Formats: sequence, structure tokens, C-alpha cells
Amino acid sequence: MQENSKTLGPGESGIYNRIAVLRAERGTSRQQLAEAVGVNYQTIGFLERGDYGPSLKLAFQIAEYFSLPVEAVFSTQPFTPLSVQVYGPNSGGSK
Amino acid sequence: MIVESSPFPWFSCTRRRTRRIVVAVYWVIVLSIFGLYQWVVSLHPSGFYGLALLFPLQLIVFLPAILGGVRAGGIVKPFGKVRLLPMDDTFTRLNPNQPLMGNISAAEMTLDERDEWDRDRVHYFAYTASRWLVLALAVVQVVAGLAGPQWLLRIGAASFILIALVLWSLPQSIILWTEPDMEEPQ
Repeated sequence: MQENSKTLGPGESGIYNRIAVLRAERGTSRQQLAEAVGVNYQTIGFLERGDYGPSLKLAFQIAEYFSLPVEAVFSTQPFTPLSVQVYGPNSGGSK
Repeated sequence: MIVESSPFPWFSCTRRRTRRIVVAVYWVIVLSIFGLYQWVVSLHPSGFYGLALLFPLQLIVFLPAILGGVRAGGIVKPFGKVRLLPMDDTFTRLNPNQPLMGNISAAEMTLDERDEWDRDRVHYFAYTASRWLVLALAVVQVVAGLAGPQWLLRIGAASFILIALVLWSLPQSIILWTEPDMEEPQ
């Protein structure tokens, strides 16, 4: 929950994304992702913080890199935390 | 927007605080030269000493290159496209021991889409700022022309230098001032 709320913020761009979560899950560094999609690794950091909204092309490239549909990586609405998706809304971290 | 490998071996540009100091020092130097020019011209209206100060004024023209943007080799990535020279056997350098642009790679100097977005954003800000500066200086000129003192008229006359400086170095200054600390590539 802590990780999700930290990484999914829209910042200035108004676009929510799961890049940081996906990167952590796949063990990919910012540098590796940046090289794969042809941007500077600093730009990946800006994207993760939500300080920059990617172009359509870059959004699709990132989604393709993670082999996911673009709506699974980017959204205009806040993402539901993964813990809620997996364990349901009553999981809530009470254990 | 900032080159990762500093073009200056004695200065690391990864931290925002350091970059802000550079920007502050830069503008203090530039405004000091401008003030010195005004002072010398007021002492010697014939213009000879003002002409002698063309040298520091040339410095003003070339100072923005230290910040970068206007060309490769500064702290900010060049705003335009970087033209690469072929580095094969047919290319002979006059001094092979001297590193090219502080050994900054071409990939580091190329702007990606966020860099281009940032470049356009700061240039729009500089354009807007210079528009107000021109308006203010025009008012100064009108006031000076009507009944103002002579020194006020001189400030207006030399103010094109300030406008040029704002246009040439304000975008880079904004980038250096606002860009956060560089993150680790991990």
C-alpha cells in the first residue's frame, strides 16, 4: 500500500502509472528501461513521479516493454492498489 | 536536460544546489559587467572607454556557452541537434590527447521527448519575460526622452545587451535552477 501510494501519484502530469511497481516486479533498472524505449533514464524517474506525461508513442513503447496493454500501465484515474486487486477490498492490511 | 558527465572536471552538476550556485554566480558576473559598462560610459561619454569594454561584452556573449544550451559543451544539453563528426581513421585531430567536450557521449547530448518539452517550456517563459522587459525598457526610454536624466537615457540605449542576455541565457538558467537532483540509474 505504501509503495503503491508513493509510486502512483499523478504529480504535475495528471497521468497515473505503474512503471515503478512493474520495474520493481521485473527487476528492471531505470537505465535498462530507458535504453529499451529510447529516452534518458532521468525521464523514467520523471514519469514514475508523475512529473511528466509521456507521449502516446512513449506510453505504448513502455507498455510493450512490459508486455501489457497500455491501460494496465497508464491511467487518468488512480490505480487500485495491487493488494486490493489480489486479496479484495477487505484485505486492508489488518493482519 | 543536464549532461550527466560534467564538462568541467572540478564541478559536478548532478546536485541542484550546486547548479543554483552556478546560476547565481553567472548572473552576478553578467550584471556586474553590465553595471561596469554603464559606469564607464557615464564617466567618458565620448565612447572610447565604452568601446574598450567591448571585450567584456564579448564575454557576455560567450558566457551562456558555459551554461550550455546554445551549443554543446556546457552543463545543459544543446537545444538543437548535435552534428557528429566521423571518428574513423580518416579523421585527424590537431590534439589527440585533448578529450572531446569533456568526453561527453553523443547519447548524453541528445534530447529525448521530455527534454524537448522542457526546452520549449523554458523558452516560452524566457520569451514572455523578455516581452515584459522590452516593454519596461521602452517606458524607460520614453520617460528618459521626455524629461529624464542622462543616465536613464544611457541605460535604455544599452539595454539591448540585457535583452539579448535574457534571451540567450534565461532558458538555461531556469533549467539549471529548477531541475531536481539527478537520480541513480538503478
